[in-house]
Amino acid sequence: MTFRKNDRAPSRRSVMKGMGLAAATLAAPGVLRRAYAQEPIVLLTWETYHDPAWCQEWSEANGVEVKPVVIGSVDELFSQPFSGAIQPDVMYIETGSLPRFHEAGLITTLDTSKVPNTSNITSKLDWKKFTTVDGSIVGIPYNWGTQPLMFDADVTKSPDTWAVLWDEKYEGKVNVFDDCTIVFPMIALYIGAKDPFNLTDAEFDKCADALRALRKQVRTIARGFDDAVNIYAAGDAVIGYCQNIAVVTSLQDKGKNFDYSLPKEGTPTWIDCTGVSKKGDRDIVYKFINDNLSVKWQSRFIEASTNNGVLDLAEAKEGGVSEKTLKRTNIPDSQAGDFWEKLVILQKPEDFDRRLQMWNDFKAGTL
Amino acid sequence: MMGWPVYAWFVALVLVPNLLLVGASFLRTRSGRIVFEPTVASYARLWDSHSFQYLLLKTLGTSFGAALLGCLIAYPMAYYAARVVRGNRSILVLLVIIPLWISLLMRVFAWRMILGQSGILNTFLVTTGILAEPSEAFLYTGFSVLLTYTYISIPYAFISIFTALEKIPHSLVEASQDSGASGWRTFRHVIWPLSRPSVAIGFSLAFLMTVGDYITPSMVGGIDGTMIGMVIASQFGIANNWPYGSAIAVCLLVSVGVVLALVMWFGQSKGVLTGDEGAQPASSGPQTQGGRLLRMLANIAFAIPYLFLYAPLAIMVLMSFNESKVQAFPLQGMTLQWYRELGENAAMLDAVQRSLIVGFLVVLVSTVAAIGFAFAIHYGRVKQARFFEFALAIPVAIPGVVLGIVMVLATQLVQIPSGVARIVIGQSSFVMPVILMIILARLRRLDAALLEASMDSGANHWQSFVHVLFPSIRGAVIGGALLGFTLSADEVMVTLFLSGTAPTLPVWVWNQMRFGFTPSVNAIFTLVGVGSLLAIIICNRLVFRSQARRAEA
Amino acid sequence: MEKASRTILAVAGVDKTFEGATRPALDRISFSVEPGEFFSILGPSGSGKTTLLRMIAGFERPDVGRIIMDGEDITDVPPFRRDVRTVFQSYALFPHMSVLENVAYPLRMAGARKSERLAKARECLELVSMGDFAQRLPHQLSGGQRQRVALARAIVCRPRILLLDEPLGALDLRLRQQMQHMLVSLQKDLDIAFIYVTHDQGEALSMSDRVAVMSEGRISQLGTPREIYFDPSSEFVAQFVGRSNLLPIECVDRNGAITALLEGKPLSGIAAPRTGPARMAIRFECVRLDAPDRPADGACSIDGTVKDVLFLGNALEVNVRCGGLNIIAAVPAASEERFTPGKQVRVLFDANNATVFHG
Repeated sequence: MTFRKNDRAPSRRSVMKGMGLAAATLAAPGVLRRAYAQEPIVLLTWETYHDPAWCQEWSEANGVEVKPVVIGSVDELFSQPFSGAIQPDVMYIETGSLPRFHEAGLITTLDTSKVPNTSNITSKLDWKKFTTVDGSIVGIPYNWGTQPLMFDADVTKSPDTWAVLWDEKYEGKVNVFDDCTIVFPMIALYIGAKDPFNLTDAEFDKCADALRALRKQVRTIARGFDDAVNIYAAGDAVIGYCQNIAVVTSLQDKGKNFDYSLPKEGTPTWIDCTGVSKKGDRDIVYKFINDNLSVKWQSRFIEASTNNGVLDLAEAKEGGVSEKTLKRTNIPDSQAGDFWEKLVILQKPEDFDRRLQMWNDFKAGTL
Repeated sequence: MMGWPVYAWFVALVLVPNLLLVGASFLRTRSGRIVFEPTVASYARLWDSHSFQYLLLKTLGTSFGAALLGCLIAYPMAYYAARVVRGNRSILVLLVIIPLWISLLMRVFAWRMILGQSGILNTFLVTTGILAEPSEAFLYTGFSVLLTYTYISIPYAFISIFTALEKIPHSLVEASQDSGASGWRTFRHVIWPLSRPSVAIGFSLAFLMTVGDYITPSMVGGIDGTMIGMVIASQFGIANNWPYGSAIAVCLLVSVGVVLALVMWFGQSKGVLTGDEGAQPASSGPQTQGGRLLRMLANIAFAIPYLFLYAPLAIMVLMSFNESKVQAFPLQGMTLQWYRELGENAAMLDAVQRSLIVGFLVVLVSTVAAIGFAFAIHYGRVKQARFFEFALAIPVAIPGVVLGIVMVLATQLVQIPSGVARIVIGQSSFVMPVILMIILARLRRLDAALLEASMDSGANHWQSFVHVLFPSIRGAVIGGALLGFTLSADEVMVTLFLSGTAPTLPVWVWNQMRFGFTPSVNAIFTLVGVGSLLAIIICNRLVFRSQARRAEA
Repeated sequence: MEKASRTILAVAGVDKTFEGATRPALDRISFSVEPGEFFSILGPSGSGKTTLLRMIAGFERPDVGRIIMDGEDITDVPPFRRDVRTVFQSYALFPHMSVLENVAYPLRMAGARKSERLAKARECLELVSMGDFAQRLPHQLSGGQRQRVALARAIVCRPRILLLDEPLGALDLRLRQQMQHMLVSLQKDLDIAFIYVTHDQGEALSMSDRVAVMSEGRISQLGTPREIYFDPSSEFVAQFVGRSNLLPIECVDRNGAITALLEGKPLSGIAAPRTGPARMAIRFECVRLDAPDRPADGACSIDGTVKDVLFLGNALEVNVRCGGLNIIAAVPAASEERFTPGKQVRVLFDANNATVFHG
């Protein structure tokens, strides 16, 4: 008995030691992290918006840590700050949801005079109209994008209407994005609603019919950018409502012959705006927002994400965005005067709960 | 060994959070804020909602079916591993557990590559001429959800059933045969009734793992894979209607409770297993030609579920060497780039490190608590021990989305900042009960005289614990801790809400899956898988060697 | 054929070596059991007796040899098709079934109707005086009760052979004695052949018609209890069965006749086959004690001093030191003679009670 114990004890003890050492090594970097004087700026942001390296650079230049929390869905955009799981200083909200965030007291009105770089925002973007709630501005654009019709160019050639999504030819091959706020306006446009954000009961009924018919067409709904790319790349969808044109360019990179078009009924367009919480109503936060709108920062963002940012074509070129990247954004197209007429910028809907209920019923198949 | 920590844990991590949930379901919401006006409006709305009822039934039905299938597959596996295979059984068990260490998201994601339009299954069926063209029936259907849920269910069902089958004394089987029962009838009248309670537990575990999961159906189920969890998530999310979301969650909880109660009722078995533990047959006679063939067939049949468990992992390994960033077939060419990038990906390394810290702390907190609670409950320091044993396990039965929200509410109430502390508390709430159950089960099989014998020998409570009780339950503690780590390391839903600015690896991966996936994730999980396999093989070798040495001596 | 009908079970030349073992568990075992016989297999643990029993039950297969039941070769017949029942050492009661269900189980497997099998099971429970416990679950019973249920389950089908694997091992002395009586009367009533495995020679001798003593996988001796007890064929049997003094003796050739010497003193009447050192076994109760001055009357005698005395109730065990030897004598406790340590005594025994082993 004794010798057996002697045989085993050292090994067990050394295992324990090893574990302790491992635990200590693991914990060390957390303790040794650099301390900043001021309270950090917490961002509730989307993938590609705030690269950790850019934040690091800004933190070191300004002596305040920036902590970007990346969220993956609109659901998280709501649940994280509402539950108090994250108390952000800055969050990025599309125009249609700004009023709800303002109403709930999550964002305050902004003093645009502290953000002189708003002058860099392209004049084509009539942003103040969409970010004004109760007479005051609550958001400043950081990025915008169109949500066009995307398709496999080997299968079809430049369709110009949303109606193709209901074409039986594509049964089971249609993809939409799992986000009620952006799909519903498209449905409303398809049925020819007068104001896609103020539907009448009759128009709601028509939307319900359209959704019911759409359900047969759709086999899967994408939960995110990469998800969409994978679904199209794997051949599980050939046509769909595009959440972000980066999906198309990403597919083109993979050698897939995908393209997009702006349907005649109108293309829903989002503007992601910077909103600031009460906690974030600090000068240093304004400085951060202002720096985010600098040509340098924006160009870098456009180059890395192939998103539109908020710059004008000339500014973007001046900021060093490559021709190749520019071609993949909407920026060159947006120079044309009639371009904006084809777009419908998201606004606060008349009854969000009703839309969501219909959308959930649509997904459940019980509409 | 006092009862109060049990009560405290119950109040802090079970009672208060759930009361908050139930309370919220009776409130009203106005312009995105909860107002304190009691109402049953949310329940009235549920009563009228066709889609809610449909989704609830569908969710319960799918999870139920998957748990059932999981048990059907796991039972023969467990039977074979526990009662047929001789020697080295632990490795068979570990092989079932290893896939659990690879993020569920990664495994589910791999299923998509197997089942998709240009996936392996379709490619195989088309090239072999079984199908004329790729079928759409495999992915984004109810079938794919059922399949992946079954996939998730198998390990949990297996572990539970295996331990039960291993415990049945061989003399009972012989007594039955001796009484004139053939193999099948022995199984029906003896083995099955004796293992039924554990099948019920395995079934319940599997059921719970899938019933609140909305990530899996959202990834492989397509639009037909919509489950109630998604609706709950959207109510707490975009709809921002917490009372309604809470009401759905409460209904889901109650339904799950009813299902589990039925399963447990079905699984109950009279009597107490006493006597020797699972003695194995000494030997069988000389092997005949037919016997050898049968054995080979059995071995092959036994290997199939393992293939099922490891197929997604193989895909993941394959993808980690694939040159293209897109996770789809066909492959683009060989590269080691993703492994090289591992070291440069600071965000991921941060997440890995955080996951390990969280896992370590969760296991530490949960194991220490579980050991204490198990003793307190077992040795009668807790009043209403049965009730508390059950009540502490409630968080296990709460769908992740809801538990996440609920734990946020509770931690917010006491001003615990988001991050590692919150994650540890949130995860411990459901990891601790699992470990507790395992330790309690072991304690109950322990000779009651052990403690008395030790105290009789002059040891006090603490010394008895250190020298006698702990060594006799060490296996259960280690097993429980291992399972706890597995649960912690793979948790997404709860952690998503609690992590704040500090994601753990699975949460980070979950974000990656939707935006800007980097194949380095494949690489790191490949390393995790290979690492754990190696560790197990080495451990096995060492144990085997020391056993051999001991046998020689 | 006539001979076969008189033998209910024959074990013919059975060998068995377990995987990885160096010594055979069973080594050329052959014997037969008559119908209605109480046959015991007696041996220390590890002697192969349980293996032999499991082989008869069908749980083990012999490497070589056959097992024949009632003239029919059953070597390859699976256990559930053999008309043999076992009472397991651990009782092996099904924990999830009530006592009644346990007992009815073999009938259920035989396809008996429910009412019939319950009636028979009840009847059988009465037979072992367990009728009042029919609805209990096994874990609610005491050891002796479980044992009787196990017995009832084994005999409910009236098998032709009943195997009992140390069934009384876990019971206390009083219960054991009760059960012994019960087993014997049951066996007579049912007229079933019992094959009884035990390491307790008392049980084997008291109940059996015949006893097979096993050692290291072989049968050392097979015979009636009387033969085994009084005429052990080997030193092993002599020592294992009953309680014997084993005394070293020297056999020398004196005047053409071989004479045994104990402590250098010739023993009259002890027959030894050859010269050389040997051992003589003599049972405790065959040793008498007398005063040192009394004549031997033709018995072998040696003088000694009482070392210690054990009081066993019905007998005294007196340990006598005779030169370099210790000899134990069992004498009636009621005897008037008082033996106190230090007392000089003469040890006497009859030559026909002693057995000499060379080796």
